[in-house]
Amino acid sequence: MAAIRNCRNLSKILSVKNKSFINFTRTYEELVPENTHEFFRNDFLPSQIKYLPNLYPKTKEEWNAAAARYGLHPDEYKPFDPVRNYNGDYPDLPLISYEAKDPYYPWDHPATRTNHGEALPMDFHELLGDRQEYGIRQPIEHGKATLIGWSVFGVFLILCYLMPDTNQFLMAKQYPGQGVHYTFELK
Amino acid sequence: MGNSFQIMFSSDPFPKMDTDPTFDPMFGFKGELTPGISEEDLIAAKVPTDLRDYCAHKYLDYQRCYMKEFPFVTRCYNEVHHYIQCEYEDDILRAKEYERERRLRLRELRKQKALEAAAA
Repeated sequence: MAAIRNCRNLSKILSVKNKSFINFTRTYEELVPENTHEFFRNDFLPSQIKYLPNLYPKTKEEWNAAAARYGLHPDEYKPFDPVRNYNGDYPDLPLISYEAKDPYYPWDHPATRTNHGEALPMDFHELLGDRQEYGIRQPIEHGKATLIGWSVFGVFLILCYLMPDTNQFLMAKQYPGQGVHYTFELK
Repeated sequence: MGNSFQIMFSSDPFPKMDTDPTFDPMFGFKGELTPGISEEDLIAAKVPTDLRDYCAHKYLDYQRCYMKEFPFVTRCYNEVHHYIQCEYEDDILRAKEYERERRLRLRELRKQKALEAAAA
């Protein structure tokens, strides 16, 4: 009992009072040096670098310049979280698929329903007309459809279990030396 | 023969699948089945135990042909055909055995009923 009480006290010390004994976490800046992304970016050829996004904007001027580069208002512009998903200064745009866009709007590129010079979301290649229809209200929601599919399969399995054996009924397989076997020749 | 729906809705004493016959096997019959090859030869040829049935000699024939003709094993279609035919006839015998078991069970019932009617 005393041991359990001690354990409870330990957890209190660790979590409730938020006082850890050993500091085993390190900040992202400690783990990843500042010039890492620049270093990997310089690994590409100059002809490739001109198609890559720039480094994550740190100052207000860099932020505004990045927003202007992607044709967005500085308030609308929101780059990816540099700690969790570093994509340089590329904006984290909402995913709107081909089907979710207005078909009667005079698009510059009707095949992809985009305008000229428009900043595209990171996974744009998955949102084209022959790919995922993200953001569309379905007649049957995807979760419900999955449930229906699995339940149909489950009913099929139950039927397989309950149905009688419709094969030709046979006696045990005959092996020489295991009982007397004959050819149905009459006496 | 063993019709599954007949089994579901009938009260007759149908035998179970893959069971051994319970009546005297030689009752009314004479021709005994003989294996085409001895067990010692099968063991020497390393034939799997589940294939050591009455068609094992034909199985060995077709395996030998496969070894000889490999990789042009389609030349062994005769041997394979004979083996499959033998297995089919083996199954026919088993089906006949099932039917015999079923009819003998019915005969037992009929005899019992006749005895009861005579006693009453």
